[in-house]
Amino acid sequence: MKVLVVEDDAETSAYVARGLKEQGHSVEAARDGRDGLFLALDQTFDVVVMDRMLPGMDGLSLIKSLRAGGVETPVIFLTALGGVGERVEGLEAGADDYLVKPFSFAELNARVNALARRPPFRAEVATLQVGALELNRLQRTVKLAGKPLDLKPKEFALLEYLMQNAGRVVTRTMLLEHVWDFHFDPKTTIVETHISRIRAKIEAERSDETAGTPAGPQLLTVRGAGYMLAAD
Amino acid sequence: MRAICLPRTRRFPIRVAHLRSTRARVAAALVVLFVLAFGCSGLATWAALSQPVDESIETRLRREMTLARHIYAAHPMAEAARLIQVREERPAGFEFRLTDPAGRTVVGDLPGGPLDPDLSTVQTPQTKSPQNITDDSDEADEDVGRRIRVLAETLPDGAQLALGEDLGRSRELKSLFLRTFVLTSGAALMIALAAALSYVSLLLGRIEQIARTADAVSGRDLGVRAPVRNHERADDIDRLALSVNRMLDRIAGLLASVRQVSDDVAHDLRTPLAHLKQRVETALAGPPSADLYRVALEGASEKIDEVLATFEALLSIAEMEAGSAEARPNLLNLAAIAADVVEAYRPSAEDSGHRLEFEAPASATVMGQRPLITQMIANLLANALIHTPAGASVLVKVARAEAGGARLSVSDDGPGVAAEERELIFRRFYRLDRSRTTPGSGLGLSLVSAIASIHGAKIEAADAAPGLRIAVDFPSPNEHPN
Repeated sequence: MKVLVVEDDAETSAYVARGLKEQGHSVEAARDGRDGLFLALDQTFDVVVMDRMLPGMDGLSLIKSLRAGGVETPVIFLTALGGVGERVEGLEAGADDYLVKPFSFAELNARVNALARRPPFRAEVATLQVGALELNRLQRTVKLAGKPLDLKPKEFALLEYLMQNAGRVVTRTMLLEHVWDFHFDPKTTIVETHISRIRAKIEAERSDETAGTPAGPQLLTVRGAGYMLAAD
Repeated sequence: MRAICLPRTRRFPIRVAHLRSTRARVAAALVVLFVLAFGCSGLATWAALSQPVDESIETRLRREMTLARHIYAAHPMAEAARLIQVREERPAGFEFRLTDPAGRTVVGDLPGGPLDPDLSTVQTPQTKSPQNITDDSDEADEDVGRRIRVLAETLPDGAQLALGEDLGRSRELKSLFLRTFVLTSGAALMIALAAALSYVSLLLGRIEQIARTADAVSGRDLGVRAPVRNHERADDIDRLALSVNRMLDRIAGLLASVRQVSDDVAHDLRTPLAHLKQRVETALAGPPSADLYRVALEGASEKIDEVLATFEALLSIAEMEAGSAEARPNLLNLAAIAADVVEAYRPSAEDSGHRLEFEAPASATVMGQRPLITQMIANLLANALIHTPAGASVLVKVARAEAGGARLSVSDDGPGVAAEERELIFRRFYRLDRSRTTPGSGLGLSLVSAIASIHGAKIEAADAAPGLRIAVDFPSPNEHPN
């Protein structure tokens, strides 16, 4: 995957680039807004990681220019400004995601992966399938190997998001933002308890299965990063 | 900024000169106005006074002439002359002269030679005539430079009767009026001028007090406020003073907020940063071991997260207290948002052994920003869950209030908070003694309070008997500050 990093702080830029390269991505780096715009228009990237405050041309103008130029590459904003207004402003300018500095690399990596592999027109996909797990978005039902799972609304939304990103790590923060629309630390184990309930329901269903059927999906905890739904 | 740098000696005369010229302008304008007003009224009175005085002389002369004619017709000439003389020598009588048909004066001393018939004005010579020089009687003096209005009539037998009144008498009246007018209007002008000037001085003095207040504030004394004479019935200058004072309060509040943030940063970030440094130094001083380093680094990373969370919360609070939080309020259903938050926390509340209850009407509308209201409810709920033991009940309740507002309350039946500490829990970094070991930065409720404040909502902590109840009263959507 090809990632463009537009960041004027050398240390942050090197940290992000090194991490992404270790993950097997190819990285181009720009040090100011003008270089970033030139690179983004000149080449095709899978994701752009962009600082909001840049010399030459600030992030908001840069992203507006990109969108005006027809470049639909997903953009993640990095920013030291964490206010509600700042986030809304960034998303309205055309950013796809927003990450407040300082951030952990695991968080950035999970978001880069989620954005880059987001399938097109996913809103029109009526059913999601991961292993023996089948989710119907229209009927809002989930079946494990044909047997219905009884999930509460937020458990359904959580599982839906995990299935969309099956095989990829999603962080606790990503889940809070997408499932609950919480953009703050809830101070309690909201995500953890929901995950363990879904996991318990899947396990309960699975234990009823007779031996020999497929193991089905696993809801894994990735230490220091987040959660991942693996097909088997 | 430049004004502050100017030396006092330079600024002071400029301001006083300005006020003095205001005073001088007011005085000049008053004098001009008074002179115009009194001049107009004086002229009008003069004109009104002149007409009737002149007219009444003629009327009175003719009336007297009619009477004299009757006397003359009813008596022989000598008798008539005597009667007329007696009559005219009364104090209110006229000057007169009766001449026989031959033109000789029979009786009377009205000066002048032959007279025109009917009305005329006789002017006696300006200087004494030669024969009068030797005669220094008062009578002779009186005949110098007089103007006499005379009515002459030729009687049926050819004799002539003339009656006259000295015009000096009406002049005396006019000059009396003039003297009185000048004296009274002058006095009125002086009194009014003095009153107006002292009033203007008073007003300017009060304005100067406000100016001095502003100077004092520029000179770093932020506690000074402009004096207000009457708060209930404020006049223009009181309102100016009140506006200036409100502005100063706001500035002082913002400054205090900025100072508070820097104090908070200094005091409360220094401690975890010191711990961080201690851990790193301890690890470096110990034996070089990858395992020990890993433990130290993990601990350090946790401390850094702690510092960052505190920093983030402080900035959010400061942003909201400064009122600079992006204000794009929408109509929100407080009941629905609260329901979502309660459902989000329910599994973890159950896992920690709490009973979580929720009561709300179908809809309770408030004006606000959804992310902030969500965070407020979440912070209140998390606060209740963290600070009450397992087995406690937490009730989240939304209710419609009078006048279109809404009330959100979160109550628990935990240990509660002592009355004297209830207001303090909204302060930054305030933590009850028994909570020192529970997780948290001491900023959660401060943030709730700041969010309430920018929504124009009132927050209060009360005794839920047992336990603590924190209630947020939102104003009606029509009364939202934004």
